[in-house]
Amino acid sequence: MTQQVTVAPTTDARARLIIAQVVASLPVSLRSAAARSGLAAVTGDSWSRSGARAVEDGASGVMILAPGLALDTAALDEIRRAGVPVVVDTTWSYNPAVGSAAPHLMQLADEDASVETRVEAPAGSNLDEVALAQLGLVRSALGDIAEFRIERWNVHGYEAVGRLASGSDVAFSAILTNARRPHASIRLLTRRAAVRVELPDTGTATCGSVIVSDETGAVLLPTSFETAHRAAWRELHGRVVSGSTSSDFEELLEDIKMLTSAR
Amino acid sequence: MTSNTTGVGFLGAGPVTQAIHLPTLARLGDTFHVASIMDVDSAVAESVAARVGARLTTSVDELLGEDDVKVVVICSPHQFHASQVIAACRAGKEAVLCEKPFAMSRQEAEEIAAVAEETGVHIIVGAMHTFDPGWTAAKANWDDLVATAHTIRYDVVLPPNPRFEDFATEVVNRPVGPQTAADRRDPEVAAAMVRGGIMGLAIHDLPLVRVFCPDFTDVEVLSCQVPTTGGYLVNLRVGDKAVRVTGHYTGSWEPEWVFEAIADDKSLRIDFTPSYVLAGSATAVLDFGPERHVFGPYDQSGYEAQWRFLAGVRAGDVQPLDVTELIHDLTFALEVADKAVESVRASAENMKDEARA
Repeated sequence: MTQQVTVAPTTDARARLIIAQVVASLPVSLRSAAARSGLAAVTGDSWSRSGARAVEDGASGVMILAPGLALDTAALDEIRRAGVPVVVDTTWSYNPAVGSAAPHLMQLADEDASVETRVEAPAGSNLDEVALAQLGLVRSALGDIAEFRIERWNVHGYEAVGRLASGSDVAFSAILTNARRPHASIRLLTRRAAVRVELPDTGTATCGSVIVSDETGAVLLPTSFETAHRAAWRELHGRVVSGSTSSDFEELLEDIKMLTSAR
Repeated sequence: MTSNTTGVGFLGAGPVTQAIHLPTLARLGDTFHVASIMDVDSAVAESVAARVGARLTTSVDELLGEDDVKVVVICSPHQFHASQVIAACRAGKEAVLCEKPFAMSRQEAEEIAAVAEETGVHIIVGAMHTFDPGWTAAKANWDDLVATAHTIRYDVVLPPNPRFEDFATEVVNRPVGPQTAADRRDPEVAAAMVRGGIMGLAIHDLPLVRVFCPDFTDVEVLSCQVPTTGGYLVNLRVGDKAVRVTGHYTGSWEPEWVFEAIADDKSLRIDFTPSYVLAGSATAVLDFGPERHVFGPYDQSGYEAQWRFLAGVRAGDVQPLDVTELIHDLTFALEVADKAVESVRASAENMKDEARA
C-alpha cells in the first residue's frame, strides 16, 4: 500500500489549483490537509524564503512552482540544512515525454549534434519564468548547460545560444503569443539521426510526443497522458517516502545564476 | 499532338530539369510540350531529350534561335542565370522561367529589370512555394497578419536530394557532392557554407519571409552559425520583426520544411512537401486563438501551380509578375547572405584567435 503524504495549504491561487488537480489524480498517495508538516508548495519571487519557513515548520518535502530569480542566501542555506526532498515543478521538465526522450537525446548529444529548443507561451508572460522553465527542460532532457548567452529579449520573446556540457550547441527561443496553445519542443539533429520532442501545455493531460529517427525510419515512443504537474508531485511523494533527495534544488540555483548573469 | 501547345526549351538538363520540370510538364500536356533540351554534356542532353521526344543541343544560342521554343527554362548553374535570362529576353521569347536565384548580384538584377522592361518578356523565378496553393490560400485568409506578426520562422531539415529525386524520375549524370565533411571552424569554409546554403536552399522561401517584412531593407544579423549538420542558423532583425532562418542537412529520415509567421493573436504555419516529388501542396494552418483554419493539402504542387500561372500569363488570364518585386526578393536574399557571411566569418575568426591564445 502506498504511504499517503499530506499537502500543506498554500495562499498562491495558481499553486492551489494545481494541487487540487494533482491530489484528485493521486488520491491514495496525497491528501490535502491543514497541517504544515506535509509537502509544501512555494512559488514566485519569495520562493526561497517561503521554502525556508516551510522547512522550519516541519515540511517533509518542498515543491517549488514557477520560481522567480530572487534568491535569499540565508533561506537557501536553511533549505539545504533541512535536507528534505525538493522538487522543481517547472512547466515542462516532468512531462513524462521528457523522461522517455532523455536517454535518446543524451546518447546523441555530443559536439557533432545540433540542438534547438523552443517554447511558446501566452503573450504577456513573465519571460524570466519562461526562460527558467526552458533551462530546466533542457537540463532534464539533455544534461548540464555550460554556456547561455541571450541575443534578443523583448516583449515578444527571446533568442539565446548556448552549449551543453556534452559539447552540443543549443539554440534557445521563446515566442509569446495567444494564437496557439502553449507548448515546448526540442529537436536534436546529427548528420544521421534526429530526436524530436513536442510537449503540450501543462493545463491538460494531452500527451507529449518523442520521435526518434535515423536513415532507416522514425519511431514514435510510447506516449503518457499525464501532466507534468502530476508527474512532479509523484516524484516528490516518491522521494519523501523513500527518503531520497533530488538534484532539482541545486540545478535550479545554477539555472537562476546562469539566467541572471546572461540578463 | 504538340503543334497546338507551347514549345518549351531547357537550358541545363540536370536533376531539376529531369526530376521537377519534366514530370510536372507531363501533367500539363494539353498546354505545353518540351521542344528542345540543351546541356553542355551531350550525353545528358541526348538522354533527357529522348525521354520527351525533344531536339537536343549543347549550344545556348542554338536553342534560343529555335522558333518553336516560346518559353525558356533556365536550370543551368547559378552563375549563368542572369546572362541567360537576358539572352532569352533578347532572343524574342515570350516567357522565361529561371530557377532561383535569377541573378547573383544587384547589378545583374538591375540589368535583367532593364531588359525585361525593354523587351516585355514575362519573367518568372522558380520560387515554387510562392505559387503553392497552400500559401496562396493562407494569403487570402490571413487578415492583418503581415502587419501584426512579430516573429517569422523559416526552417528546413533536408535529407539528401536523391531520396526524393529517385521517386520523381531516373536521374542521369547526378552531380557528386563533397565526400568529406568540411571544417566549419575555418572562417572561409564557414562563409562558403553559409552563402551556399542561403543562395541555394534558403532562397526558396526568402520571398515568403519578405512578404512579412515590409522594412526588408533594414536587415541586421544578430548571429549566424554553421550547425554541425552543415547548413545555416541565422538570427535576424528585419525592421521590427524577429526572423530566424535555419537549414540543416541530415541523413535522418524525416524531412521538414516549415514557414511560420506569429503575432500576439494570430499565427500561420505552413508545412511544405519535399522538393522534387509531386506530392501535392503545402498545408497551411491559421490559428486565431481558439479558432483554427486549415488549408490543404491540395493535389496541385507549387511546381504545377507555377507552370499553370505561366500558362495563365501567356493567355492573358492572370497578371504577370512585377519584375521589381523579383528584384526586391533577390536583393533581400543577397543582403541576408552578405550579412550572414560577414557574421559567421567574424565568429569563426574570433574562435580561431581564442584557440591560438
